[in-house]
Order: sequence, then structure tokens, then C-alpha cells
Amino acid sequence: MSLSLGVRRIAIAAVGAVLVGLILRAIMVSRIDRGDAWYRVQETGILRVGMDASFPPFESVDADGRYIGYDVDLAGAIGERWGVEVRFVNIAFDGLYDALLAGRLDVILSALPQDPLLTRDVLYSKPYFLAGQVIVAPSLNPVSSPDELRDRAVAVELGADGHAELVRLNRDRGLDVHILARPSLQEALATLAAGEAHALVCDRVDALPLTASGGYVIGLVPLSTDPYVAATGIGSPRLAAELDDALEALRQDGTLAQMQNDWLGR
Amino acid sequence: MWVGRILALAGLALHLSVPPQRLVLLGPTQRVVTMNSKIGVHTRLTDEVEEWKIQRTLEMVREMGAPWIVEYFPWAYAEPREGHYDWAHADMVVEHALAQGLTVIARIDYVPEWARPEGTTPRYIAEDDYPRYARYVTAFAEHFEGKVSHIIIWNEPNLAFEWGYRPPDPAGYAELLCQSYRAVKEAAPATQVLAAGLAPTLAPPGDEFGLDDRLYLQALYDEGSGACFDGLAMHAYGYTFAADDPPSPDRVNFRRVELLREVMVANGDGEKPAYITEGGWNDHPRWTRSVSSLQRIRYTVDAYERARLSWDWCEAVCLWAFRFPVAQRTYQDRFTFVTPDLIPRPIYTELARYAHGEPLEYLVQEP
Repeated sequence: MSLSLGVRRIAIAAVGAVLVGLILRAIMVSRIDRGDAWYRVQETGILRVGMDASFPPFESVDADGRYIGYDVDLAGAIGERWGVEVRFVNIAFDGLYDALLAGRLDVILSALPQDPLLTRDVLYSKPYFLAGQVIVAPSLNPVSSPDELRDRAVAVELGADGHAELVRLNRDRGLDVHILARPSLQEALATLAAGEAHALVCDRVDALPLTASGGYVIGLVPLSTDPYVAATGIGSPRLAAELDDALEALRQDGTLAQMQNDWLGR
Repeated sequence: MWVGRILALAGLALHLSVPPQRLVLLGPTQRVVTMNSKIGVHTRLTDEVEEWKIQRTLEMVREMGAPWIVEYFPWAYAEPREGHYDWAHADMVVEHALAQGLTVIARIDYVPEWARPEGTTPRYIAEDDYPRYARYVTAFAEHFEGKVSHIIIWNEPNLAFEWGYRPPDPAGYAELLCQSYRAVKEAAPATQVLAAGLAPTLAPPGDEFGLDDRLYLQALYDEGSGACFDGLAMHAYGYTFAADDPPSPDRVNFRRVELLREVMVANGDGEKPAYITEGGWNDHPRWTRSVSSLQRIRYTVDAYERARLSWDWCEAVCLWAFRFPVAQRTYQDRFTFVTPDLIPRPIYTELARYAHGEPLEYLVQEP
């Protein structure tokens, strides 16, 4: 089949336009990508993970100077999936975001809650752990929700966030919880074990080991939820997407559950 | 005609649909009742948008018995474009503080985007931009003359993080301090200019992240900046140590400020006052540098008492941090005295008893 000269010219022009478009797009993409930390990580084979290693069981430094904890293992698992070496950078918590903005880090992984004030500056991953205040009660007499604490005695560590949550329940919802504030979590737990309190309020991180033996259960409705996430720079959408994919894969294959069991006893 | 009526009705409906704003009146000027005139706190009202919460926060400071506050006034917030000042929020904070009878120390840093190179952090300031910072601080001092008595030039410049992730540079900071001091003194001579509180750290020279605060302060004097401040801001964190733990060059504790005082005296600045503008203890159970809630209460009362009885060179002890506008949901929250929704933590109620000479409640539980 033969084409007329005019049709040929139009076809050649169209193909040319498409080629020019593809070349321009490639140039634009490469310009965007240059700033994406994903490519730096791939080129260097090093993932720089920032953390404030003073917060066990998520991140701390052991007696031999090694980084240990849930987030440390998580970073290692991500590095393994990507085939890159993980280098930890230990920075005080209030300096982590600036270190990311200054290009000293690729990722923050440090028991980090999402900060809605910073979403113009950083990209957050999907949550990989759910912290927050929960209700713990004996398995034989469980408490599902805060409403069931009305007029009940509840043990809590003095000054803890759970203490403030109980004051808030009384102030805002009039539950008349009888707050038994104890100097430490251990003493609050002893109060519960002695039957002086109907329940205990504490952080989910502290609650998980208590439930390991089966003697206690965590209420279905938490008092507060603090999802932990990873953060990358706003100019690294590819790294953020790869991070989400890696976290999802680690969730699917049971790695996250295993880490939680290793570091939190459940 | 009917179109106009419909528009008027629509306008009225729109007006009525807006939730009413809580009416906030300054009220008569209050007086702080306290048995310790050095008690202070670092408030953090920077990002607090609701006026009634600003007022209530400052009321609670007064009711606790603290006559001093340090507040953070970010440069980037008040000068969004060069030469265009927006004092609305700062005015609100200062007016409410004064109405509660509080003395305000202003910390000023956080560089606007227009005053720093692209890709730098808000703590980065190039030497060429020092005059811009000095102009802003001077404008602040003039605007708040007679209302804000003390201004802190920058914050913790001995940390790389607070110096725009560059190595700490005492000579650079000394120049920034001196330019600012001279400009402020010319415009508002009564304003007290404080050199920045240094981060307590043992970092040796050449460390990537910081420089020992004692060495940094001496370096400032070596640069001749002793003539460029009326007083020194100090940071006094206790971490895991009690308030009476003795100072030592190889230890970061509350009394480390006594070593900084020695540096001041050794350099002929024994007559100048110091102000603790950050410090205190944290009681998060999992942070490795924290103490228990009861220990925190004990150490904090002891710290205020030490300043009252033994530190005649220290004008105020403003501990970090009275309240955050929103929860950080990290161990940082356990530095606070009051929750974001204004629930007093036990340390607040106990300090109020201490400041008013009333019997303490929690400390009697101590073993």
C-alpha cells in the first residue's frame, strides 16, 4: 500500500514530534531524578539512616557501640532488600529533620511520628508500628473501651502520658475514673496485679510484653494512636515510594511481625 | 432589588454559619505571687494560633509562680519579605505575657528563605547576611522597647545543627553577635542583649556535630566578643543527674553552668548576669537520658532552690518547656509542665505548691 506525499510528510512530522517529546521528557525526568536520594543510594550502595539512638527498644547503642533495636533491624532489612549497605547517623531528635534537609541523611527512622506541620518539607512513609496509650486489663476481666472505665479504679504511672489521658477522660467525658497514680510503671502494674485496680493505662510499647504470657489483654479501643513512620526529603519521591514498597513487602512476609516479637515481646 | 436582598441574606447566612470566636480580653495587669523570683519557664507559643490558649498558657505560668518566660520569635515568621514586618502574633504573645505580670526574654533566630541560599536549613546564615539579621533584631528591639527587656542572639551556635549543619564557628558567631549588639544598642539602648545559650556538650574540637560549650565560650572571649553582650544565656540540662550533682568538665549535668560562670569570671565578666534560658529534666520512661517523674519533680524544685539560695549571678532559671501547642508524640513531650490541651502534669501542681510555700504532695512519696 502506498501513501501520498502529504500523508508521508504528516506521518514523519508526527513521529518526529513524538521523538522530540520523548527526548524532552527524558531530559526532564533525569533533571528531577538527580535530586532524588534513591539514585544516590543506588549509585553509592549506601543508605544513610538518621536516628536518635537513645530510645530503646527502637534504637540505642549497646556496650560495644553497636546500634540495636527495632528500627535498626528494620533499616537492615530494607538495606538487604535493596542490596545496599546501611550507615547509621546518630543525631539528637531535634536535629534529625534539619539533617535530612541538609542532605546529611537519606531517611529518618527513629520511632518517628508523622508531623502534619512538616509535610511541605518531607515525605512520610506508611506507618510500620502503632504506638499510643492503651488500656491493659486481666484476660479474665477485659476492658474493651475507655467508657468501661467509668467509676473504676485505674492504675497508671505518675506523670505519664496515660496519666494525662485519664485526667482528660474525667475532664472531657465525665467518666469519674479513680486514678491510682504510682511512681513507676512497675508499681502501677503491681497495683493491677493486686486487684486494687480494674485496669492499667500505659504505652502500647510497654503493654505488649505484659500480654505475652496471656495474663493480660490490651483493650480494643486505644486512648491515643501514634503511628511510627519513616521520613525522606520532599525531593525524593522515588525513595519514598520504594520505602513504602519495602515496608509493605516486609509486612507481607512476616518480617515486621517478627521484629515486633523480637523487640517488644509480642 | 430582589437580587440585592438575596445577596444580603446570603451574606447574613454566611456570617451566622461561621463559628463564634472566643472573646479574649487582656484584662487588668496581674502580679506573680511567688517565694522564688527566679522561677521561669521556656514557653513555646510560636505555633499557637488560638489566642485564648496563649492567654491561658501564660495565666498558668503566672499561677504556677513563675515571673520569667523565654519565648521563641522566629525571624522567618515576622519578616516574610525583606523589610516587611508582621508583628501580629508576637504582639499577641507579648501583650498577654505583660498582662500576666511576666518578664519576657526573646530568643531570635530561624532565617527566612529570602535571607539564605537555596537548599540550606533555617539555621544557616552566611556572613554576608549578618547585617540583615542585625537589622531584624534591631527592628524587634525597637518595636518591643519597654516591653521585651532581653533578647538572645541566636541559639546553641556550638552545635552544627544550629549553625546550618556547618562546623561550629566561634569567630563567625562572635561577628554576628557584635554586629547585632551594636545595632540594638544604638536603637534601643535599654534592651539587654544576651549571648546565645550554648548546648551543653563534651564534643571535642573538630567533632562533626558540635564543640564543648566551655571551649566555645572561651573562644568567643578570645574573639573579643566580651564587649558585645550584657548577659549570658545558659542551658542547664540535668539528664540523669540530680540537681546537686557537682560540676565537672567531663560531665553534662545541671550545675555545668557553674563552669561557664567560671569562664565568664576568668575573662573579667564577673559583674555580668547570666540567665538559664533552657534546661531541666525529662521523665519519659524509655529515653536513656531521663529520670522518673518523682525524681524530675525533686530535681526541679532543688534546681530552683539552688538558684535562689546560691547563685547570685543567675537572674532567672527558665526550664524547657512549659507547653507545646501540639503534642510531639515523642519523648520530647515529657519535658513539658502542661499538655497541649492545658492539663497540668504533676510537676506543674507540685511546683505551684513550692512557689507558694504550700505543703508538697508528691515529694513525700519519695523513699
